[in-house]
Amino acid sequence: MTDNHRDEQMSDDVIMIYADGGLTPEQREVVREALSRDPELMQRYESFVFTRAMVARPFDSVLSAPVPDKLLRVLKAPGLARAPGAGASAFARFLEAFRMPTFSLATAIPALVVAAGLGWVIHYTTPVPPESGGFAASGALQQALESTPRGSSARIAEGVTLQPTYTFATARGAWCRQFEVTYAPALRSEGMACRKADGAWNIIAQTDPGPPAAAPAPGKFAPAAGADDGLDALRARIKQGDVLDRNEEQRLIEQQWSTGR
Amino acid sequence: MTDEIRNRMVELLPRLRRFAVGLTGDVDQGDDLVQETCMRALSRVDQWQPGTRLDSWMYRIAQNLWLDRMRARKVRGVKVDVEAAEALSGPNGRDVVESRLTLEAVNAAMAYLPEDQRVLIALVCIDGLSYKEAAEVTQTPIGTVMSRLARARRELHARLEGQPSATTPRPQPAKPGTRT
Repeated sequence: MTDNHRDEQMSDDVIMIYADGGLTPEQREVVREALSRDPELMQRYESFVFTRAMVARPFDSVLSAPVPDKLLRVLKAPGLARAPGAGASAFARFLEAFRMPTFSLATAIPALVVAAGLGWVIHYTTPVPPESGGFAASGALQQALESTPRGSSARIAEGVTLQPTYTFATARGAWCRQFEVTYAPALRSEGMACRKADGAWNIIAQTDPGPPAAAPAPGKFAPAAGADDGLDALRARIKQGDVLDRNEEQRLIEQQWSTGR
Repeated sequence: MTDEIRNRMVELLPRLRRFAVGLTGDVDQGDDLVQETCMRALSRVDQWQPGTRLDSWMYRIAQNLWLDRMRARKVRGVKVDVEAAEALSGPNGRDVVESRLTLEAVNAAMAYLPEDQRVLIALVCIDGLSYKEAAEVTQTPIGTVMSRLARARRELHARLEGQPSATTPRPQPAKPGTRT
């Protein structure tokens, strides 16, 4: 590491501390002097001031919002806190399994076949008309996306169920749904589908339902640009407004996805 | 004892929610994470050392649960029909998002940061913890915390304000070393 490099590294940290109100008066004077001389330093300083002052503000709405009852209920429910050494609750075990599914090749292969049978193989090289985007969902999947509210699951094939997780609108007024698919006994994948003007649901993204333990083969599951953070990042990118709550979603399903948008 | 801890956890919920929304980039997902964090904390309450900070301990649980989830997702891989996604976001979607600093805009910009940097932004810039407190939560040396945080803040500023990115090579002679 050269002196130059060390200076550069130190100054970023020092400028950040300065912007956050740290350092002794003498040190602050030195930094102030350096900032007045060097526009590039000043630009870096502005980044720290900006992120200190501006980034937290939009989150105030979360801080001041009422805490949802479901969270209060968790903390107030009797019997969840357990003595040292006690086993996890059934729900905690379920959550554990959810995060780290146990896979075997024997279960993975049929599940992959099921997935392929549903027409869920997306080819990057295939040009897709932007307005119709994605691949048409199969009949059972169409029906499940059209009529299953969040919190319920729909059977879409033998041993395969779909659970919607989020429903939201895009900037262009299309409805999209994020969902999970569970393959008995232990596999799962996630996907996103959007509803076209003609009422057909098209799958625009999916995660691989294969065994998560092995790294994907090079080139086989190449992540798309901008999607490296997964479906939640995609949802954040394309949604406009909030995700629907259960009541709004229920109403939308009853109205067959027509809101006069 | 447990009742007292439960009450303190209830008091922490608003801050924990804000932290979780900062991590996940989404209120619904944030609440799911808080719920899971509370259940995990209650089931392991014997592991919390009285006299230490309950908020730091719960933040650590939330952070670890979220990192586990993100890792599992990465390994599974995601396939996205890029054109379809772009078409849905609309031609001016990005301009609209970046023209004002909304929760959506910040979350969208934060989504580009590596997870370890996002955690630090949520802890320091959003929750207001000190560098030292953030180092305790993440169990990372404070020097690492500061260099990651500095890089994250410059990148975030660049994404939100269109400033030159922290990752953009500087005009000075390039140094190949990368900082962590």
